[in-house]
Amino acid sequence: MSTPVLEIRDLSKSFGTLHVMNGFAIRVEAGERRLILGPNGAGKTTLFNLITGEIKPGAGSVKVSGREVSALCTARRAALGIGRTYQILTLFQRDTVEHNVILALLGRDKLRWHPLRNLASRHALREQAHDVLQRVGLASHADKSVGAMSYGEKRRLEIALALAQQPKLLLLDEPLAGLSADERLQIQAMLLEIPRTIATVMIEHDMDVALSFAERISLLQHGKLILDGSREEVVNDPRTREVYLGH
Amino acid sequence: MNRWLILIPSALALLAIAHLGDFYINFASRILIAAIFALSLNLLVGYAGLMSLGHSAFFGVAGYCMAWLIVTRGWSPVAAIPAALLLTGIAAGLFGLLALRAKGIGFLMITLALGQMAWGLAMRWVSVTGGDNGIRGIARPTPFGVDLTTATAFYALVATVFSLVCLVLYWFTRSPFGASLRGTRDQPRRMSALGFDVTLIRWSAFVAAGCMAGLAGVLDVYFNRFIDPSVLSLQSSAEGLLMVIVGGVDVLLGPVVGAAAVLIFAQVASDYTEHWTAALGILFLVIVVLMPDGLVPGVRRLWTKLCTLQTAPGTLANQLLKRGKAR
Repeated sequence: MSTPVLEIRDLSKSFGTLHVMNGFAIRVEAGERRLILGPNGAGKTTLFNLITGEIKPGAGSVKVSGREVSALCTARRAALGIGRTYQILTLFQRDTVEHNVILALLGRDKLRWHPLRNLASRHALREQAHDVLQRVGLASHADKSVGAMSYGEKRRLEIALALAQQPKLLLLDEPLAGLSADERLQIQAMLLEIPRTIATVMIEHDMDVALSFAERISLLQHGKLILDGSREEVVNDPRTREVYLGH
Repeated sequence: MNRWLILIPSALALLAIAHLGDFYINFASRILIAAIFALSLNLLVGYAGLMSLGHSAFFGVAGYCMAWLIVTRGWSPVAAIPAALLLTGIAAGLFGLLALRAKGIGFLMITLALGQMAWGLAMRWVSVTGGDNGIRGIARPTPFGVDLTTATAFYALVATVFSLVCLVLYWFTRSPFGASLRGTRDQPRRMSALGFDVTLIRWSAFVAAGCMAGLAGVLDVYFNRFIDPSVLSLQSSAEGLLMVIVGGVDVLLGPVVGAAAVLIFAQVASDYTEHWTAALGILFLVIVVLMPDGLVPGVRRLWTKLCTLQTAPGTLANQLLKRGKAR
């Protein structure tokens, strides 16, 4: 059996008396596309924050490619191959689109510590940034200020930053939130082009897009894993309807 | 704006000052030393987004270290410089470890507390610092046999150090580390997720800013040939912050313009009234209300507006031009 890209065991987290994660466990294989489903407040984004280390767990274990990362900070986990997007955009609004991607590329480059070299003259970085922008259809917007972009373009850039990290595990937190129908279709096509070398875990409420993307689904409620299985198994299970519709 | 349009007049102004009287030359030296201090503070405030109220501690630590080594231990004025900067770097490293545990107001309060501790130490550790009386009789160095006791020679040294600091900061703002530091200011959460160690980046900037403030402290001790606890006071830190905010944060030239504006205004106002600090407060209020980003970005914005007005088709100048052509 191969080493999973992500393996979580007995993960728990409480804020005071509120238990937001209750003994959660999951296993994501290399190249897998996984959907995390659950109603609002189920703990989906908290789960992502626990995986990336933005929140420390109360108990449990998180392994990335077989390595225990529970004690590591967010930056060290990113260096091990975790990339993520945020539900609320976290872009560098005052900078250009290209500069945003260059920053993402610097995150895995020792050059980031250099205090005197001119960043603008690093042509290799600029070429890499151009390649990433081409993948998300933003190459022609490279010199544009992020503040002047449309919301849909910003959503693409959010994904571009995560892709620039060349992650082994990509966590997509509602990548289609707030988009129009046309924009959703465009980003859906873009997500399907993410190479299979990257295991992807996605939180998404748009069922059409989410189900067309994922092969496996985990259903979460009150921080507990209710169901875990193939797309067909979870969709046809009465508990899915119960969790979402209450009957 | 073309950088030569700023660089050439600035270099000429620096040279021209050397031909004025001693009073003006010394005043220019004071401005440049204050500008180096304000530039170092802007590294924290403008580029890292860390508002500090204890920055003068590093200015004072370097100054006291220099004074003590030269006067009490008999070190040469040149040899004392690296020792003073090293000690300042260590102090900044320790202060940074404590202060960077907090963010926002918490960071501000910790830096304020640490600054006050340094000031208290300078006041009470009389055997080393001379207490309220400070330390006197600090000799200026004579690098390569050059006598720095004249106003012009010392000004030349300060102007050279100031130009080097500006050059280093210009490179720094365009560097990968400069971009990383600005990233931690704008989106610290995202920066962590991208693999940047936000705390380490901020700590490095804190130490660099501390050393740069120490450099200003070294020059100040040579300039005054005297040091007392007032250089470490909260007022000194607040004045530095005032210079940065008046000139404009996140702009290389902002703190330089701010230092010049504050010191010139204080000098002129003190000639007319004893309450010149109140006048300084009014100046600060006026600038914050009219140009909230500071003088440099404010003037830049005004200039852009003027240029837009000149080229706009409906302006009086363009209408007259069109009529003239029609005739």
